[in-house]
Parts: sequence; C-alpha cells; structure tokens
Amino acid sequence: MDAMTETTALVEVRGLSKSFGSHAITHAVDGLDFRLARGETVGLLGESGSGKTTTGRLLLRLTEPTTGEIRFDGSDIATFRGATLRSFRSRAQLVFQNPFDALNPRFTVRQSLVEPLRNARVPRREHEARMCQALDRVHLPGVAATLEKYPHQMSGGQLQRVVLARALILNPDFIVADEPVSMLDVSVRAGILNVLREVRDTLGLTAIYISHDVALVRYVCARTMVMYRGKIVEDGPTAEIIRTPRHPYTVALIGAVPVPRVEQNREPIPIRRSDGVRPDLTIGCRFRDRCLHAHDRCAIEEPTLRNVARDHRVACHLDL
Amino acid sequence: MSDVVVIGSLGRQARDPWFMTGVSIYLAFLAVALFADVIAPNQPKDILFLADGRLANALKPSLAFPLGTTTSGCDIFSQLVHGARSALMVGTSAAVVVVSVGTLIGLFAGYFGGWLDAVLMRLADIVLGLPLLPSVIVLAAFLGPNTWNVVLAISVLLWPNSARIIRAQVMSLRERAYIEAARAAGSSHLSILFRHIAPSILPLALLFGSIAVGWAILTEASVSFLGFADPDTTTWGFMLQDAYVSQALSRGLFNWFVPPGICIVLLVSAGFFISRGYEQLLFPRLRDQGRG
Amino acid sequence: MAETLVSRPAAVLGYDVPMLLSVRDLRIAFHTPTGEARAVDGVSFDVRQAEMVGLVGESGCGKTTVARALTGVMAGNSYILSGNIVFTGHDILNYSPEEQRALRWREIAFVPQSAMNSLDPVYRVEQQMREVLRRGGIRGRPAGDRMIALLDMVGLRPEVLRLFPHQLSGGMRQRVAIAMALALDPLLVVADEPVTALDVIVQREVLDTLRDLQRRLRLAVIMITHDISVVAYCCDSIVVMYAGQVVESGPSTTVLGEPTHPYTMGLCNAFPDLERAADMLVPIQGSPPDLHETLKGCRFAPRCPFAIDHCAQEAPPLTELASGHHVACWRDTEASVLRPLATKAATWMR
Repeated sequence: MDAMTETTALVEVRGLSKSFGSHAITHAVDGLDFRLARGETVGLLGESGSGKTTTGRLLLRLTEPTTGEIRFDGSDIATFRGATLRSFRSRAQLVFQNPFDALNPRFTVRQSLVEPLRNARVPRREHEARMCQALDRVHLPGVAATLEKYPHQMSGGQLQRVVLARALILNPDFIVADEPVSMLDVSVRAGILNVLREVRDTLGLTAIYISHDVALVRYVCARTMVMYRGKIVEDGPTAEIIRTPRHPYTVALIGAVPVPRVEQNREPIPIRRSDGVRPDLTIGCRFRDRCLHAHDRCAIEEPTLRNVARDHRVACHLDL
Repeated sequence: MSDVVVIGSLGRQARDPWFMTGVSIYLAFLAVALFADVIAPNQPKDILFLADGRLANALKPSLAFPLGTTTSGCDIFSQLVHGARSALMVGTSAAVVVVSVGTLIGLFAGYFGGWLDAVLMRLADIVLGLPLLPSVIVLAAFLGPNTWNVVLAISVLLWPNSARIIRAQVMSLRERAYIEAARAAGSSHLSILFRHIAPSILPLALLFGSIAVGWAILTEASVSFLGFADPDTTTWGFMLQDAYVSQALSRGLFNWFVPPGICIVLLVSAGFFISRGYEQLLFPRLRDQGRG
Repeated sequence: MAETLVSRPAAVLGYDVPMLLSVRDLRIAFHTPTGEARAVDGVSFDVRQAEMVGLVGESGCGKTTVARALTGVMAGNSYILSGNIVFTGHDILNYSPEEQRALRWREIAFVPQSAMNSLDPVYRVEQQMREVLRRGGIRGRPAGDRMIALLDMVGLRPEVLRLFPHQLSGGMRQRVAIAMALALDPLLVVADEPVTALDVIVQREVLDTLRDLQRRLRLAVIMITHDISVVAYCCDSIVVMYAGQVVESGPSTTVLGEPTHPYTMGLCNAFPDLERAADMLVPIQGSPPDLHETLKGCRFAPRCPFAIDHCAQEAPPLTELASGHHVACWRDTEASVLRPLATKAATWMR
C-alpha cells in the first residue's frame, strides 16, 4: 500500500470507529485506517463534524473506540494499564485548542509544568532544569519570572507556548495538536506556528495536527489527511494535495480558502450549497449530496481509499 | 464561573459592605461567645436573690441586671451571652459537617458519575423530601435530648443542598480542557479531584458554610423552643421557650424574649450578607451592569 | 489560473458617491475594575453608499466597540467621550434614545459575531423574523411574503422558517442572521466577525452571499474582522485599527498592495498565504499597549522596527496621502523603501 514498513510506523490505526448516542446514532469516526511513521508531521484536515477532534482523542486514549484498534509502537493502546499506561501518557501528549482553558487558572506556570513531571516520577532534583529547558524550547523569555505567573497575567500567545512547553516537557515521541492556533489572534499565530515548525525540525517528533485551517496545515505538515463526515477521503503529501487536489471535497475546500491579497480566485467553488438540514447518508458515499459529479455508483457503494500516486490515496469512484 | 475573578478578588471582597457587615457580626458574636465567662456577670441557670433575700424574678433592666431577670430569677443578660456560645458552637459544627459531607459527596458524585452518582443523588433526593424541622425533632427525640444530637440531626438533613450544587459545579468543571490536560499528563483521578477541582469549588463550599451556620442556629432554636433540646444547656431557643411558657408576652416582659430573637435574626442575616459578598465573586457581570 | 474579479477601487466609486457614514474623532471609554480604559481613542473613517468596508485589527483594538457605538448596543459600562457619527447627514450621537431606536434596524442593522447571540433558542426562525418585521410595521401576509423573500436572498428554503436555531448548522444560522438584518431594508449593515466561527467552505458561501446582496441591494457593509484574507476577498476598502486608533485606511488594493503603515506591513506578513506557503511567517513581536494608561507618542512605536525618536514623543496624525488613502505614520513618505524591508523576517526579530 504505502512505502512504510511495519517497523517504522509509530502509530497504526485499523478499522477505527466511534459512535455516539443510543437512538440517533452519530458515527463520528467510521472505519479509519492509517499509519504514522516515526518523525512524520501529518495534518488532519476537516470541517466541524468531520470527526477529526474525536480521532485525536481516540489516539491518546482520552475516549474509547467503539470498534477498531490503535497501536502505539507495536502495542494495542487499549491494553495499557498502570505502568504501561503511565509510560504511554509520558510518550504521547496533547496540545489543546484553547490556551485560555488548557491551564488551571489557579496554578502558576510552575505548578502546571510540574504536574506531568510528578506523574512520570521524574526525580525532584531534575524538575527545575526540565522546566527551564521546556520554556526555552518554546522561546518564552524571562523564564524565572514566567514560572511564577498565573494564566490571567499572560497573553494568548504566551499561554499557548506554555501549553506547548507542558506537552514537550517529558520529551514525548508523539504529540496530537488540536487546533493549536485557532483561538489566537492571527498576528500571534505566526509566532506559534514558527515554534511548531522548529520543534518539528529539531526534535524529530511524530505529530498530528488537527485543524480546519488549510494554511496552517500547509505551513507545518508534510503530509495531510482530509476527513469528511467520519471518513478519510484523501491522504497524501500536503503540497500535492493543495496544488492538485483530487477528491471533489478537497477541491472545494482548497478553492474556498481566501488569501490576503486582493487579486484572488472568486469563482464559485464546485460544491452544492447546503440549504437545508443534512440528510443522513449511511449507504454509499457521504459526500454525494454535495458533490457535483455524483453518479449512480456513489449512491450504492461506499468508496474506499486507493492509491492514485505513490503516497497519495483517494476515496472516490471517479476516474481521477 | 469566572475563575479569573476568583484569583484576584479576595482583596476586593474586603471592600464590599455587605460582606464586611456579615463578617463583623460573626466576629462580634464570636468574641462574646469566647469571653462569655468574663462578660456575663452571673451563671445563666443560677437562681438569683436580691440583697434583701427576695427572689430576683421578673425584674426590669437595671445596672445589676442589664436585661432584667426571668420569672425564675435568672439573669437574662448572662443567659443571652452564654446562649451566644451555644449558638455558635451548634452553628459552626453543623456548618462544618454539612459542608464537608456535602462537598465530598458532591465532588465524588459529580466527578465519577455513573452508579455512584445515581446512588448518592437518590439518597439526597430522599433526604430532601423530608421536612426539616419535624425530622430533626424526631431524630433528636430518638437519639436523646443532647445538643450534639441536635447538631447531628441537622447535619444529616442539610447536606443534600450543598451536595447538589457542588456536584453541578464539579460536573461543569470536569469538562474543562485543563482537566483533560491533567488526564493526558497522567494524573490520577484522586489527584485531579483534590488538586484541580476541589480548590475551585472551595468558594462555593464556604458560601454554603456561611448560610448553613444561620440555618443551623435557626433550626436549633426551633427545636429548643419546641422543648426537644438539652435542658441543661442555655440556648436562645431555650430562652424563648422559657419565656413563652412563663407567658412573658402577656406580662410585657419584652426584655426577655426580644433580645434572643434579635440575636438569632442577626446571625442568620450575617450568613446571608456574607453570601451577598460572594455574589460579586460568582457573578461579576451583575456588578458591571449595575453601573450606567 | 482562475478568473479574478477585482473589487471596485475608490477611483471608480469616486467622490461623487454620497458619504453614507462619517465617523470623526470618536472616543469611547470603559469603566473597568482596574480603572478607565480608552478603548477607542480618536477614530475617523468614512463609509460610502454601497461600499463594503473592512474594519481590521487584533482583539482589543476597539473595532467591536466602534461597531457597537454605530448600532447603539453599547456595553453597559462603556460611554462615549467625544466625537461625531454622521449618518445620512444627521449626527446620530445627539439623537434621543427613541430616535436612536428608530434608527436601529431600519437604517443600520447588526449581524453579531455568533449568530447564536442574535437568535433566541426557544423561538422558531419564523417567530423571530416576524418580530423584527413587526417593528418595521410589516405584519400578516406581507410579513410572510417578505420572510420567504429574505430567506431566498440568502439561499435558504422557506422550510427553514419552521426550524429552531439549534436545528440549523452554523452557516445557516449566520445566513438567517443576515436575512434578519436585511428585513427592514437598512442602508448600512454592521457585521461583527460574521464568518470567524465558520468552516472554510461555509465561510466562502456566507461571504459570497453577503457580497452578492451588497451589490444587488446597494447596501453599505462594515465588516469587522481580524482576518485580512476575508477582507481581501470581499471588501472594497479597509480601515486598519490598532490600540483604539486608525493607523491606515483606504481602498483594499492600495492598503494591501502597497501598505504604508508598518503595522499593516506586519499584518500582511503574519498571514499565511496558501499560494506562497513556503515563505516564512513573520510574527510581530510584543503585544498591544494597556489602554488604561495615557499613552504618549505613536502607540505602535514599541513594536515597530522602523520607529525613530520622534515616534515615541509625538503621535502621528491621520493624514491623507492620496485620494482616499489615510495613514498615521511619521515615515509615510518612506513607505516604498520600508516595504521591502518589512517582508524580511530579520527586520522584525529583536
């Protein structure tokens, strides 16, 4: 299928599904299959309702899947308990969306940073050094003063750096970042994005960035998976997906992104506009109610991911 | 709930007039209770005689007896002062138990949910369904007419109120991102409960405490008034009962039953004044909109 | 490459197009627990008939406060210190509350940031629209027809009338909010971050709807946002605000194509451009000043890579460089030299 072998994949997902609700069942995530190689930064792109946030939480075992398996470094994460769970939690970290809420407002930065260290049983004498190193890595100046500050004394950008520092303090192998900059002012985002890029380049982390922001994903991720209504519809190198998107949804998505210049594409995007409540589509392709190219096969058979190029998979019946 | 306001505002509370009034009242009564032996010229139950050997009964307020005497010859002022001691003991003990029990139950029920929550809340529902005063009386009668039994009875009946509200607050806090972050960082449930959640609900718990003191005193007074309290102790409720039984109203002995009544009202009000101070804390927007 | 439609520059609009709204030297302050904050401190700009103006700036720059002053829904603890707002020739700041209420919605309508704020969750869409129409004296059958027409204008089917807000998606709710804003045929619509909370595709749909309506109904729109890409996409002119003041304003092509104020230059570099994604993003270091304090000199000076001594001492006034292009910077004449420097990351690092 793809060029990765069993041994280099840090995270492997097979048939992952998560459903909510008892009578009106929502399939938030439906049958995901993918692998993340060591050191890879992957973007998980999708709009609200695509299941991307749920996927992130499943990957960190913050919620349990309905079916399917997630393997971290070869082991099924559902089997982790006690020591193995603690080890997993120190190797896999989460960066949150809302910097104003990701830190306990009553804790100083020091208290927030010490918590993961304490949980991982890092010896006391190493704490100070590790905290300073973490804050340095995210380029927060004035480390000594910052450690004693409370969240309400800091700006959004500074808070997000602290959140990132907390995620990196245990030198994890894997981070999941859920909309890491969406709640920040756009002029502040650039700083955080640059830190993320630097972290990517220097630490060799495996990372998955969940976002609806195409530009963010383009800036930080080498590979992107596009999700729509619980399924992955396209998966390939970011530059390629943005330059020549294949799946009709991706085409619409890329076309809809505005750029900060007056001369830009204002053509209508190739998607049927939503004018009523979404129909429930359990058979066939989930995108067919909005797709301009939908035909009979799309209503009966759900498309599966297939290769259209070496590292590029698309789930669509059209000849692309 | 505005956590930001919580951090920086404890100093601000000191400027709120309602809060300060409530606290002052408490402190005043506390001082009286602590120094009761010094302040009160006589023992509350002592039957007193005048210099000429007559019983000092139903005397009007004078220098020797600032609030006069009862029909049995006891110094009302001394009774009032000692009554403060009982009131505060009952009030604070009951409040402490109610708040501790209510908070713990609220914390566990709210955080863990599931069957634990279901069981605890059903228990709370049952207790809430019981009428306060009659139940306290029944329990006190059953356990024996002792002040501590009254405290116990009050605690058993008052905890559900605080438990429910704390539980609701915990349930909303549980969903906050920093709690999830703590879990992702590997913190245990207990660690999250006591390091992250408990400190945030402390203001709410204290709020209940200040109201619970008032309610406990009021309930105790009612129980005493109805004659179910320990006859060996001196409480304001007991004074009221004594006055009632001795037909103080028709005799015009206002100096007997009005003071304890006022004291009860003051202490209960103090609890509410303090809670009004917390309102600024819990709902800061109310304050901002009040101004032009 | 796809066909690009250029938005109408000021030259086309020209000065013979009547000025619908003129804001002059507006100052608004807030009571806060920590003192008085001058959220808006001397803001001036114009809006012409049928023009879409983008009011851009980071959070805390005062743009929402200006919007609220225009629509009369100011926060309880804010008050206007001085200034004029002249709308269709009338100074509306001096209006009585009744006159202001009459103005609201009939002449100036508001689309708030999150449509959940303008839609009551316990009433169906129909009931809410009827209420708005009733205020304009439209009842009964004509009201029914108008509602269907309004929904059609925003691309929604009449069936939506029966639904409750929570049954609609974010984009649909926003379109309902726009339809309600247009109910009484206003001259000006003030939209506060109308697309911020929406997904990209839905955002595009809502922006296209807004632009289309604006053209057809010859509506003036003030779009408040922190996203320059949105403004570049659909606004004819831009007003850039910083720390309660206007730093640059003018036609979009000018302000974005040849930014003259260093802050504008910095903003353009801080936004990722999908078509030029390999470029390094350059953040503007530092953060906006505290508006509680009385500030001396140019407010952007502490963060400005081109600041000179004079900047810290005296605040530059908003001056007109070319027709319709205003800038508040002492070094505005050197812009052509500074501009290429501003695109380099090294300039902004300290």
